[in-house]
Amino acid sequence: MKALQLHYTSCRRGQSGNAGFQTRALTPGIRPDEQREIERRGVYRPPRSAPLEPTAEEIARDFPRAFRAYRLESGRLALTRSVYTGRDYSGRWGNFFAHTLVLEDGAAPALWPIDLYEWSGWTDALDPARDTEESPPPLPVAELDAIRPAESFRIAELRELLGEQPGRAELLARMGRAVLLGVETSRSLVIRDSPTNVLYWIACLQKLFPPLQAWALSSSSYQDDPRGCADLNGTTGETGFTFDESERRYRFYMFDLETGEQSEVPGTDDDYPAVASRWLAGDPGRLERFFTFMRRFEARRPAPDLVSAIHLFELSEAPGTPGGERLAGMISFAARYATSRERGELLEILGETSETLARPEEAEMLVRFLADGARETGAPGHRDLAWRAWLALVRRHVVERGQGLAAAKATWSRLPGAGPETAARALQDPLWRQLEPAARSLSPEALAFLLHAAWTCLETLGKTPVWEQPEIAALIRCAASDPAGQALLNAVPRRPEALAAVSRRLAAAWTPEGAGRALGRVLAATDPAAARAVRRQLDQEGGFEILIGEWLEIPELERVPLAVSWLRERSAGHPLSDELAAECLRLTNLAVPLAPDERDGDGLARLVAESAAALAVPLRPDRPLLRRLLAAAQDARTPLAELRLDAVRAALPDLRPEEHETFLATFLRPALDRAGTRGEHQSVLLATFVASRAPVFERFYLAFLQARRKSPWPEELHSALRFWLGFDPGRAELRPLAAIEGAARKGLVLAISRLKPEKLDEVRQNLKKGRLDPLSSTRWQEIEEALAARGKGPWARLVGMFVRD
Amino acid sequence: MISLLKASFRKEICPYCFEPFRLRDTPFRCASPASRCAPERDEVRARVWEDSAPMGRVLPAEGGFRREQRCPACGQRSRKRLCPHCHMELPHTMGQFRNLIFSVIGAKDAGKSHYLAVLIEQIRKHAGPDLGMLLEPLNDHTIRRYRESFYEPIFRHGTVIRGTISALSDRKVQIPLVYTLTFTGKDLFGRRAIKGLVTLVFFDTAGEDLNDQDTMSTVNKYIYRSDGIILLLDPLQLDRVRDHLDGSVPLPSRNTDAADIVTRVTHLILERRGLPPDARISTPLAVAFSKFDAVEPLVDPQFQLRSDPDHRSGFDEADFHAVNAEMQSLLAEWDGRVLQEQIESRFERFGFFGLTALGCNPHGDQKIPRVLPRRVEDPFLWLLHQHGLLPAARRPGGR
Repeated sequence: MKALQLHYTSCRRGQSGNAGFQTRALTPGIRPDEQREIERRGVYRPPRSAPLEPTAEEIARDFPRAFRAYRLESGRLALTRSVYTGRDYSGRWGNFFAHTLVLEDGAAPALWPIDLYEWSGWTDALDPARDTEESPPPLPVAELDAIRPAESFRIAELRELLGEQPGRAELLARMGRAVLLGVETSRSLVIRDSPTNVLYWIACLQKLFPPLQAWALSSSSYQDDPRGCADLNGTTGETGFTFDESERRYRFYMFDLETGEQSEVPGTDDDYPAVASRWLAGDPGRLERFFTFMRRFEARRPAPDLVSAIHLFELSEAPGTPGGERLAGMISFAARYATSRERGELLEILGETSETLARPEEAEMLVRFLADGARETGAPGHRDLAWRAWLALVRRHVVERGQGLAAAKATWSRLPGAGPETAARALQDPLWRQLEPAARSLSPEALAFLLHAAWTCLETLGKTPVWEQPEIAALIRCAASDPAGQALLNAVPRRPEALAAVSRRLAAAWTPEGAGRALGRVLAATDPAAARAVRRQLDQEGGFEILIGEWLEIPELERVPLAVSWLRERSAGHPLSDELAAECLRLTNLAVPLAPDERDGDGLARLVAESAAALAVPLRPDRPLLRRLLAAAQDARTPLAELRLDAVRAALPDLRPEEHETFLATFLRPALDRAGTRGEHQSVLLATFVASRAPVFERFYLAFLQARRKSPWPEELHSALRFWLGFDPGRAELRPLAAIEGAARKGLVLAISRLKPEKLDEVRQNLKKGRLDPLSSTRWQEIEEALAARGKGPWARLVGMFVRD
Repeated sequence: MISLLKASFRKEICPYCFEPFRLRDTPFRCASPASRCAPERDEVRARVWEDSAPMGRVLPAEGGFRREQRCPACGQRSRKRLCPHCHMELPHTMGQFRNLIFSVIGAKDAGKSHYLAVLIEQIRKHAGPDLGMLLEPLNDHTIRRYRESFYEPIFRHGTVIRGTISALSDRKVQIPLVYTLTFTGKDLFGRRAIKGLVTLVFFDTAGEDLNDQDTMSTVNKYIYRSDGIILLLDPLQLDRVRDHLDGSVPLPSRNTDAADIVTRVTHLILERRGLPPDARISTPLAVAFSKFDAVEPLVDPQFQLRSDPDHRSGFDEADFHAVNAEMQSLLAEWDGRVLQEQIESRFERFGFFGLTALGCNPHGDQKIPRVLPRRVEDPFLWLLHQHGLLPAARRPGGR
């Protein structure tokens, strides 16, 4: 390790080119900003109680050397030793010499800052013979590699110091605690004692911490000004510190060993400072081993969590069963600070605790740490540790206590990829042999998750078919209930053969219908092509009962295609129970299109009609028949008698409203056009009218009445007129038609109003010939009046001039 | 009240960081005892003054002029007003009375610290009572620092003050001595009354800090904010004087040329005040030859300089004019024409003085057997006179 040097003092000539306090010389490489900061840090003001014109002996005795360690704002570490020198070149008092070492960038020193106190290269004063008007040469780079730690501050020496008086170890623990609190609260530690003792206390405090942390604490073995304090400060005699209550209680953590007054520091027996000071005083070898152990970490700031490092160290020396917050602290510390190089050993130390953790949260933390560590080291052994910890979490918490599933799931995805060896070891875990009966009480999610994990391991091992392996079989047996079965199937990879096979095994362990229903819910969320493939697979493997269960689970309309295919297969000789066939027939009937021109409709209608006949099951509605009648109605050669008005009347109420509308659109007018008598007209109306859908019917019926025809007053219109003139709503069978009577009369008036007078006279003559009953006559009279009223309006007259037939 | 209202809009200068601010923008610091209101780290103080220990919490400025502010944590009202830039506690007189910043500058070993130490003592004990002025330290820091760093070495221990460390290295040096100067007199009814009060801020500068322009602009910002500058010249640095004395007195080491310091001060003031290069500076500059006791043998015994001024009834103008002329002639004689020319062309108001703070030459054994100051207060009184705070002395015969 190399260091750059800087000398600051009052001299005849230095870097400023003038006389006075200044940097006299430095090693090239120290930046100007670093130089300014070093100059500031090196200032030495003697204690007020020190003599103003001291002798050399007095300087040695009453002017403590200020040994300061700090990190420059540039990030480099620096050490300054400031020594009071008395007079300067001009004879004026107040001069001091500050020698600073700036450690070159790189690895942190293995020594503590105090170990450099006795470095032989320190300069304490400027040789007057060299203080000339000549510009001083630059300082060389200092070699620190061969440096030996200061003899005075070896841990053994410090142990002796602590042993000199009772209670010193506890005092050191309080000081250490104050240091940790000070990092948080900005209250620096100030110790007042003799200059020698102060140095020892600073040494003790530094060596209470591992070197890396000790370097993070700035220190000053002599500080006179409360401003610019280091983290650890020593002082002696009278300085700028007042040590009054305000400073002691609120501004600093003060330990005035001259008067015995100290700041209050909370006490505890088991925090880091307490343990470390006990070791320093009573078991220094252990403390040194701990410091060696701490090389595995990159924790740079002293913090209370160092106690976790102590626990880790203890665990490494004597495996135990830590738990709770202590283990959480250890894992957290290791996860945050372990160096990548040393992480492996920590993984092994902590991995051994996996079977002892009381709470799933702790287990999760451990698995995360082990998994991340294993991924980092890439070592198979560490991968095994992570898996073992995870299996312990599942076995001890999820399966045995029914808790920690979220932790198991969260850590599963973090586990390092399982190779065949890891998978084999994972499957050797007692977990899989203990599944029954414990797993029967597991939540569906837990079962599904276990299946997923086992499946992954089995596939990695190449144990196929996976569903035939005992682990999966056990899980399937434990899933014999509705939500569990569904969750289990959900966890199966979406491969047709896998889903079909697990469904079959589930059906065997439970019921085919239950398994089918569960499968149905799973397939509903599956790609349709994949779902079809599963069904095909089940069908081929004889899983027909499961399929029925699945079929019953899905919405009715979505079942139709399958029903059609099964009905077709049945007609081709495939066995199908009558009950299921009837259900298929019902659904297939629903699929028969009414419109005669629809493709494939004839075949489907034929299939349904034949199946219904074979099964002797009535169709409601008989859609094949309705389809046939619609086709017949469109054929002008078909007489009205062949339109099966009775069958139409029976079927129409069962049609869905939109289908009824379609039917009326195609069927009503052709049928009415064929009705040449009043009775036929009535038959058509009664066959096609459904009271609950009167408005739709009214629309189509008016269209019939008002349609323009080649003949202005054909027979079918006259039949309609005769029917409505004689309409008797008192007759029970005709009563429903009363709903459209008003519309019908309006339509008839409009149709008649279009007639020329001679044609109208002809209609009157025909009616006379027909011998109208009194009711009909009255109604005709009303129509005549309505016609007369229409003809009087100017608009009607105008329209009449152009549109009258 | 009117002065307070004015103050809330007028810009003041912080005597610690020399940044301008308005009183309405100043935060306060909770004045409760730490036991009542938990102190906390003040990030601004930690950054600017390296003072990171917890202290009374900062109560942010709420806009608008306030005399005090209530701490939301403890409910206590506080009048501890802080500089918004550096969070140092401002003098309580800020905004109510004039603040005058006087800086004492000069090359290393010119005797600045000794001069300041003796000046304060002279004003307090002699010139002050004579002129009806009361000089009092404004805060504990001033009391402590004056006592420890200035008074005790000279007056108690009879030794020279330790060398002042560069303000670049020692933040403590940047904290000034702050005093109030109260003018007393008699009112219309003949009763004693306070006629005025001014806050005085004294700066002791390390000579090293005047050695280059960059350092000056970093740590000597106060110079261009000063209301008066006392430039101390060590006559023992002048070649002609050293030759004349020829070993009869111990001589100090050679130091920076005073003309160089004046050049840097001029540049700093012109640049920071945004003045054109050919402008003359209005700040009064008192150029004082320190350590005059050492060169007394070289001075004509008939010079007014060797007699004592009479400031009892005001600033002795006649004496000033005589001494001013004599000092300029001495300066010319001692090869100081360049400096003289520099000051005359660059400063609108200046005066030349001769003084001795210690009355003896401590070079050599660094001992001060007895402090015998002479004419130490002249430059200071002249600065007060320049600011209209001290009237000219009444002379018999109407002068």
